[in-house]
Amino acid sequence: MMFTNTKGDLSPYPNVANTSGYYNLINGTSGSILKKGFMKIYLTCIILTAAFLQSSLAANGQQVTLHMEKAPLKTIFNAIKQQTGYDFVYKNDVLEKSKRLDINMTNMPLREALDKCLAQQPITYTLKNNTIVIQMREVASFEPRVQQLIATGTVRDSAKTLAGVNVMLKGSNGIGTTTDANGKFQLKIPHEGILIFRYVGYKSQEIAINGNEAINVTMQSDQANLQEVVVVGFGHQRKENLTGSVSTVRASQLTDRPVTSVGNALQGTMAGVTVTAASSGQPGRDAATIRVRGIGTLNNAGAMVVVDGMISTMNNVNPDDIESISVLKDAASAAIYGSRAANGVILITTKKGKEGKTILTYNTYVGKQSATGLFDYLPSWQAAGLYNQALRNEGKQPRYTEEEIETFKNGSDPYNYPNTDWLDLAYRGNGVQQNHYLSVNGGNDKSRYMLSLGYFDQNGLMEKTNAKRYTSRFNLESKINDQLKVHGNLAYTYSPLQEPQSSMPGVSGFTQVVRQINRIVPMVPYKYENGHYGSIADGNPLAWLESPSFNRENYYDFVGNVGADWEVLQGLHFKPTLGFVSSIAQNKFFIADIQYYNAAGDKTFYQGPNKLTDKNTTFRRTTLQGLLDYTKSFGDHNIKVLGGYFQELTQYTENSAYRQRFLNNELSEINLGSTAGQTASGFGYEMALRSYFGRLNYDFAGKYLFEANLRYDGTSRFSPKHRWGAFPSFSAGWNLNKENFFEPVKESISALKIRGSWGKLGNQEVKANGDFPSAPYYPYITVISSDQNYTFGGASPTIATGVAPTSGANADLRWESTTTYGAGIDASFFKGKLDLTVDWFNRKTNDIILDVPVSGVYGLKPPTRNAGAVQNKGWEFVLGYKDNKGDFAYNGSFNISFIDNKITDLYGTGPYLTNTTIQQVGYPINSLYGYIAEGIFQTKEEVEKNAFQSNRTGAGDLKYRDIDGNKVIDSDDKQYLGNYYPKTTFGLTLGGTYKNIDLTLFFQGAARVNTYMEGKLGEVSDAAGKPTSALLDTWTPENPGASLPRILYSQNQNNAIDNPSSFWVKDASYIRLKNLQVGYNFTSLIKKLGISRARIYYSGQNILTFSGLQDWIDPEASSSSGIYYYPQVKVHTLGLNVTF
Amino acid sequence: MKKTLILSLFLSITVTGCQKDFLDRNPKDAYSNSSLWSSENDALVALNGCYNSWSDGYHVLYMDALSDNVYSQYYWEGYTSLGNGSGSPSDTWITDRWSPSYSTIQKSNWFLENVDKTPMDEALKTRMKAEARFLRAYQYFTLTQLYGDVPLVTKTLSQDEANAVSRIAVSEIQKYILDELKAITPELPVKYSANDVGRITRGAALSLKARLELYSGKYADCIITSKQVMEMGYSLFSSYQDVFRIQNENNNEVILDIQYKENDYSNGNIGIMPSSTFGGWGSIDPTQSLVDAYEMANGKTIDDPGANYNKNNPYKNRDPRLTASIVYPGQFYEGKYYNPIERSSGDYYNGSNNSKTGYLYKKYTSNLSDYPDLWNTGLNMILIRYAEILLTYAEAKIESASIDNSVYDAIDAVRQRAGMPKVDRSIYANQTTLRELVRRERRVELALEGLRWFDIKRWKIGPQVREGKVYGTRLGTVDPTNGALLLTGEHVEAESRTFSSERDYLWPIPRKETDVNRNLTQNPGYPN
Repeated sequence: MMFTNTKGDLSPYPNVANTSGYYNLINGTSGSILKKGFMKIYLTCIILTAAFLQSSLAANGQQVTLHMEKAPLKTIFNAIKQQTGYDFVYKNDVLEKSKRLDINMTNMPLREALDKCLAQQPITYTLKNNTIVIQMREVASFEPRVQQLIATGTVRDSAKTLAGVNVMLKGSNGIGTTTDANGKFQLKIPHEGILIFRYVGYKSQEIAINGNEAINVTMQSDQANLQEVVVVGFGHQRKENLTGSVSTVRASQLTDRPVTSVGNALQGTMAGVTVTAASSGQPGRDAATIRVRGIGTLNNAGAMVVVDGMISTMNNVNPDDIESISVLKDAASAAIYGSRAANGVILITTKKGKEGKTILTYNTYVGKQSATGLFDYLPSWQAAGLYNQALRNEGKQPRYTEEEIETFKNGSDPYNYPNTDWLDLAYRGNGVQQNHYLSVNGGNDKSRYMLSLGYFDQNGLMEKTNAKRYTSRFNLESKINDQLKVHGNLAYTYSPLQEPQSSMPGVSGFTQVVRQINRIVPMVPYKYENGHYGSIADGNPLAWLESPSFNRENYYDFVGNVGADWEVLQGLHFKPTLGFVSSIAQNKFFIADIQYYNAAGDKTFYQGPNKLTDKNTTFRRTTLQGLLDYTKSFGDHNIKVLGGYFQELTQYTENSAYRQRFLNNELSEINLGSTAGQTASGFGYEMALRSYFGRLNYDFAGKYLFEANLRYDGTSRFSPKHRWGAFPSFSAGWNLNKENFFEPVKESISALKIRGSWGKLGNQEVKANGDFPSAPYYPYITVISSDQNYTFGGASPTIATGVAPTSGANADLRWESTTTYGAGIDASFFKGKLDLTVDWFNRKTNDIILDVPVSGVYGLKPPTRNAGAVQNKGWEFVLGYKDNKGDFAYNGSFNISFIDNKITDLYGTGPYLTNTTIQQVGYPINSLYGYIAEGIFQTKEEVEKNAFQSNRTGAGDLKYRDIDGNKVIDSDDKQYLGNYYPKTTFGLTLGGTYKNIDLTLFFQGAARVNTYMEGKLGEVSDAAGKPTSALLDTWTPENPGASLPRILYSQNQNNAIDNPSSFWVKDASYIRLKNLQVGYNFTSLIKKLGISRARIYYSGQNILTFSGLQDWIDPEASSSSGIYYYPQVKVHTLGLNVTF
Repeated sequence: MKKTLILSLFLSITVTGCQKDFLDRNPKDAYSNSSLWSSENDALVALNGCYNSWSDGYHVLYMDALSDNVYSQYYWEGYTSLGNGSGSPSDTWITDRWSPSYSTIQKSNWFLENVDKTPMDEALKTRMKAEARFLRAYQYFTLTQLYGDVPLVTKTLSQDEANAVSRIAVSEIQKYILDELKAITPELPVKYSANDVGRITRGAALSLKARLELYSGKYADCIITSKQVMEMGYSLFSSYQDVFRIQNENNNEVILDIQYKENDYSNGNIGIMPSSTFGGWGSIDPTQSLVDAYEMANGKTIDDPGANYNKNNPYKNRDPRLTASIVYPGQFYEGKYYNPIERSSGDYYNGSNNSKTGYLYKKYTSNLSDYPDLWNTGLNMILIRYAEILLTYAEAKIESASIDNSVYDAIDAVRQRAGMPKVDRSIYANQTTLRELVRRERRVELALEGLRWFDIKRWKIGPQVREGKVYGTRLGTVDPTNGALLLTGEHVEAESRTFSSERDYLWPIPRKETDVNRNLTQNPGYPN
């Protein structure tokens, strides 16, 4: 019922039940409009059958030969159709009133033939392209004669003509066209009509015709309109009326960058939004971490993600589907989301249907990845030599003789003395990624829809690493009557990923494969001459890679919501929404067994048995939301009031089955494993949230702005006593440019606003507790854990089920709260050519929910407590400039943020130490911590003269500073060494277009950040642990000026993990050409194909990097990542965007 | 129609919004204390929970690395530094043996505080409480052995209480342990049947009591207690080597062990002992010093001029327990002649994941085919066996200078079972020589069972045995057809150790503990 009255509908002609749309096509319109109408029908067909566009044939060239007696028109039409290929379009009842004909004609032109056939009939025809439309003559005459004219014109902006601009006749239900490649259009319209010109990135314009036939339009560019309205919590706000700190990105800034996820696309585009690349470039595991204004908490500091009003995850959104992203950075703007908003809110709005011409979009790209850097490992003879040297340094006998090292070097015995390049053997995947995206967008004044399908496929650098993503989305909005609108969004994503597994007992997993590839020495052969794998005690990573072992993760995510907007009274809207998220994950991993042999062909050891784990999880979340909003203006007083209710229930279950000892490694379904040793496990939890919230916006003539929010949140995670938290916020702004006194400077300063805010937000996220997966959801309830089993029974042991408390509870746990205050300036200069935004903020998180270390005497895992405070202070600057010189338009945008993060309180506890980090009051979260290295000892005497380090310390070892002067280097001599998290991040975008060519460069970087060199330079061994070329420059008596201390094997005095020191802390500042893109827009040729826009582009991701680190250390990789991590990737991509 | 729809939507929001219990969510996958303790089975299951992780076979195997018996070659496995005098308060096992002990203590405290409310058979309840008290006492035994003075906690604590406890003198804790063991002895059964085999027995309580009495020099008490055990019907298993095989678990020699079951509660530590060619890591390597401790088959020590010891064929004609406990060069093991002494061999001592001394454990691993998967086995780990009790009895008698036939009988029983001749009473006739004998006998009989360190501690022989270089086998060749040895080189060196009598008899208190609890003092010689 929704579609029957619409144009461009989904019902294929000729089965349209109600043809009023069809009559509209014919009556009072011209051929060109008729063509448009049929275009829609054909487009419908395209959607359904993937057929292509009609060709146009010259009607005059067609001739007809007919010899018939008393033939019904239907028969005649069929005959003409057969001879000419022309289709007839009509309603059956039209022909009922027609007379039968005697007809004789030979090679008569089509038009004449039709005129003759229909001369005596109450019927008329219209011929267009290869279609003949038949209709009643009477009907046509009922319509009032409207004086028609053909409007023609050119649409341009300040720089150039614009192709593909949508030109619509206002109120016409879809009469319109688009401009051609030269920006020209032609449209038959009523004499007194109004034309609406719409184009993405420009202000829409309405032009009254008033009989003008030549209509030339200059579209008002660009940013002013783009920023005019931004998505904020539960609504929209005009940019100039914003009082909080909100960053926005539009689709145009995101599309065409071949990024695998939305998070990666956001990198560097917004000040104050720090996107850290994933620790890995592995397909499916390359999601970025996003921190809004620093790490606000010692807990999960990830921002909340809301997609079309539903709390969701970013990775389930196809980047091509996104219309805009707003990041609510301060408490004032995020407070309306209360709980979970403390670390910022990312609001993603997907593309909605647009009124007018149906638009078909196809985007695709194909790219190839390569590693940004791989460890530069030494060949076997050098690795063997360095190992010998390490043993000598420890006073031990060398492992290899000089002859053996020579044999490694000369390659004369490649099976027993090989030089195996394990990285080369491992990274042989093709690294090809491709993306396809198809969307249909259309609608009329009643209903609008957007349909999309996406397919993304990414092969990794290693064979058998792959991730795919299938996305589909259906957004619909429909107006039931003037008071009631309904909308629904459905999205389904299927994302499978696969990776190899290690067969090493107890340490399966893909990271283990990567780790061993980076460990196994080149002195071990890939395979012996007899074809068996070479091995070290841990096995052989290539044997694992080439075995049938796998880990497969399939994620099925459905997100749907339906809502309504009922205007109860003028200005008063009631907006209920019901949402449902259903995520099912299947994780199946099979570990093949491997028998190893030696060079002689004898069995050595066995990695097995083979085993399968099949895990299924379900995640359900139902949300119910009701909003009441009221907008009213009294003179210059504008008031908006919003009240809302929200509740959410999350339910999670996990089940896992395990069997081992499969007959062989070929098949891997659970039923094939042995029942001996099989296990089943699982758990589940529920979590509920309920909130009441309200917002008041007031402004006086757009000059003085004020906003207040209040949110009252309840969570099932805390005891009833501490369950509810109230989170208020206030903000105000002043648009100086609207004051009279501003007039004199308006020429140079086109807009100026100052704003300030204060707000408080809550967080109830409790860190996951490994032992007991559902514990974080009930931290206040003391529970008795199951799985505390033992075994009794002697010769035939049985499992004795046991339970015991293992985790402590804290009934006093309450909301973690974040208070932010800040101020900002938004300014625009020289008629909008230069924009500047400056923000200052101070964000303090209190009552941080922490696992505070507890004495082991407590006997239980420590419960979480509210036990800390963290402060993030900072500045953000965004500067943008755009202009054009003739055909050359250019723009640049620079953003930078400075964040100072420190722990301000640990409630009398701490410091908390790990090997290399410390959490301590007065220092940044996760600060690096260790000794101060003061160079390398050159002599034994120097060692003895200095404070005692260890009885192994000798010449060539690192010298640590005795800070407390007690002559012993101990833990009191450790101190703050640096910060992992960048204090400065920046992004620079430079873009330009010249005629059809566009170019974009996007640089991104970070400064005032450290990395720790743990595990990044390699090590020595004769099995697991190999040196990189950096280790060639280690201290020896002959090389006293070496950059690294002497090389050791089993002693750890210089070791970065056991004896962390400033020696291993490096500056990890970097600047990276994150993206370079060159595109070309086709303007000619394509119009004939029905294409309104086509663009091809090259895009390079991560192609240039400048940092002070070794080539194989990616500055963006997680600082703790060493040899465990799959490398980051650079991607070269070719892409095509087509719009029909 | 539409209005009804909207009204009902609105109503549904309001109605669901008013559900009082919407935010009351209780765990779905864990019991609460109030829903437990309703039946005998509940109490049993809670007691089983106390047994979970009460002791770990890993430490049984690695503890000898603290002694002159074994060298642990990988420092990341946590025992190297503890064995060579470079241990520190933040070392892995310093922390990770403290905390699990207290976890078991607190589980037992929890059980004991709650079990009385369970309606069940009182006799069974009494027995179960005795089991839990033993598990708790055993933790205090281990804690005091490792750390000296430790907090004594006999009830569950809050976090704040736990962060404020103080150390209690060893003597006081040992008195507590002995009192507890004495109290529970009559409440524990001598034997269990069927699915209860493996629970704490009366013999276990008495044996731990005897061990602690010996360790703490209460020889008179020790003689009485070990005698009680000797009258309980335990016997030595026929084959020394096979005592430790999985087929013979729970044999009549075993008094206390950690029970394991393949797959479900498995012993994953077997693979650390064999070297790489057998699929293991060669993590813990018996030393030359231990090999040299075994007598000749004729009952003479190797340095005895009449022993006929041939240093070029050193493994020949030795105490059969050497072959039963240690894989040495030229021994036929797992289908081949083991050869760690030739560079070309896969067993070569300097190869990766091979024994750095050239010697391998054979106790527990005498037949690798007993285990389909070295990392997932069901082998129980013996903590107390009857041979120890016999030697404990003998030592207590010797130390209290009441040497009689029963001393020789006890030692002879142990030796003869292993295939050794009886003690030569003419040589070992006085307290001094007998002390030397019983100490050697303990060392070789109980080698690689994790007890040597505690003996070194109480005999105060650290400087003699744990200082200096650790040696392994001599290099040479092994004839692959018959195992014949040709030893040419010197003994290989594994590491060099230091020992401080002021410091190294005790482990440091974990840094993590002193960090959170200012009341905890550090042991002498360790940085705070």
